[in-house]
Amino acid sequence: MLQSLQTSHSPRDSGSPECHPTSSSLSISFNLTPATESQPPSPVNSVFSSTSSTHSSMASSNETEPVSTEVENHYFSSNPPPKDLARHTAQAEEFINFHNAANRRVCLVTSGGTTVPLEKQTVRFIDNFSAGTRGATSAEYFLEAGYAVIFLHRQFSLLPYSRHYSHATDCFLDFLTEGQDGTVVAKPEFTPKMLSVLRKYHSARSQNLLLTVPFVTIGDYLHELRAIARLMQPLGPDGLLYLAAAASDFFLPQDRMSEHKIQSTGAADGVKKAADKQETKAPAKGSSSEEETFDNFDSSPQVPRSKRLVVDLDPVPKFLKNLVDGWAPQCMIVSFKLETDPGKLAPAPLQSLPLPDRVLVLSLLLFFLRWKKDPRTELTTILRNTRAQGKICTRAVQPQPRHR
Amino acid sequence: MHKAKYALERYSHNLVIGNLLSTRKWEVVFVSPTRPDKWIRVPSVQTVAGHKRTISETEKEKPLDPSTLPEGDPEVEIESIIIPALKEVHTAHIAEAKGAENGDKKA
Repeated sequence: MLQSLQTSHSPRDSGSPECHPTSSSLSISFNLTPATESQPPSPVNSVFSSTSSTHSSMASSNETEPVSTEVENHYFSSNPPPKDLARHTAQAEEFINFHNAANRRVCLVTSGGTTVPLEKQTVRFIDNFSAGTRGATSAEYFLEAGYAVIFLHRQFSLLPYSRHYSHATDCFLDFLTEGQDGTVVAKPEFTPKMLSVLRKYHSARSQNLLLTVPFVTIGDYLHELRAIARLMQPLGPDGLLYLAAAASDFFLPQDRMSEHKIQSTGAADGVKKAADKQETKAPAKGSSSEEETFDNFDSSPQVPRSKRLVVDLDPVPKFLKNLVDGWAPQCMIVSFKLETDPGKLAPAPLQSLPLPDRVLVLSLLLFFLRWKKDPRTELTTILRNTRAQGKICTRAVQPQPRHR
Repeated sequence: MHKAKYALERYSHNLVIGNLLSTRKWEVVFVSPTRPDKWIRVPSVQTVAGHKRTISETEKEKPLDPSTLPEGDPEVEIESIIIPALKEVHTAHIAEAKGAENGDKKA
């Protein structure tokens, strides 16, 4: 279905507060007619953060400041809260107070992908690649480590404990057999592990150590995250936020979202509002050859624009700084950064300059040992230069014997 | 890793855990503004040749090559190592916060 996808850096200034003037928006075009010529795979993962990657791929440059209160308020007032928010909030408050009174650490684990609805009465949506494995597994080990866990997860993604049996590859029925007198029992070969999982699960449940809260859309997720994070304030530093959910970086604002299912016939009419450029381009039907040649989307020229669906997405405001500064200022906050390119995770010693000198030298040394034929030549040059700039102290030049 | 650092600089939160799609069940790296990067790995990995080995010291600072990893999932879930390590960091965070509180507040 998803045929092509591209980022446009059009200086589109809608004047709406959630749209930073400098930020890049995202356009996705869907080819609604069966393509006669298949196109290269679209780079979906480069646009939406994947498993365990929260708040990745930065949409705009100047974001060291938190999103302003106005933008925050606008986002949360223009994107409706999930219908169960009040109930979830009440549950979370009771849970947090219970464990705060018991002087127990509380960890909010977020898990799974968030959807980006394309219609208000949603039939179509964009999703993130995530089964919730990291979050569900981590939640179990947090419980084992003595934490109470609020598990904020994508509805129907993996859950702590049941994850061992709920996945399609481990269907729970395959672990069961019929016993005597019409009973159902676990197959003997699976009993030890199942018993262990069952005991841990019951232990967590009976001690009220695990609260599960579901979300579906990116909007649901942000509403729930903000509400629960604020409730965690009384925990002070005893609170931990472990953000393993794959939060979408782009979304379709309500005012540009179609109420009903977008029709494939006359697709361009149905989403006219969604594409600013197309509004000025009058009737989609009977489109002139001039319009078709003017097409700047990366899609098959055989398919006329009038048959395509073009979706124009705004960047989701980067609320992590608001979380750090305002929602849960004393709690410890851990986020994930997922990459697919090993180069992105490889040692980047020159980027390590703010770290202590000896760490820098160690990184440099290892880097060149691994990648260069003669590390000493490289190292000497770099050390000479950096020392000349007063950034490195001489004592660190000799590699120290390493411990461990 | 520098993307993780970038995220830290931008948001000044406590810790970013970096991971690669292809090796995320085998290793992650803790990137923090206040301490050196820390690689967390499952206890052992197999080479392509099938030799059991533990990771040598020099390899500790460098991402694993996905092609050297065996098929399937590791025997040990990496979260069983991540969470206790994280708990230590959290304990330090709490101690620091409480210390600062005592130092700052003399109400």
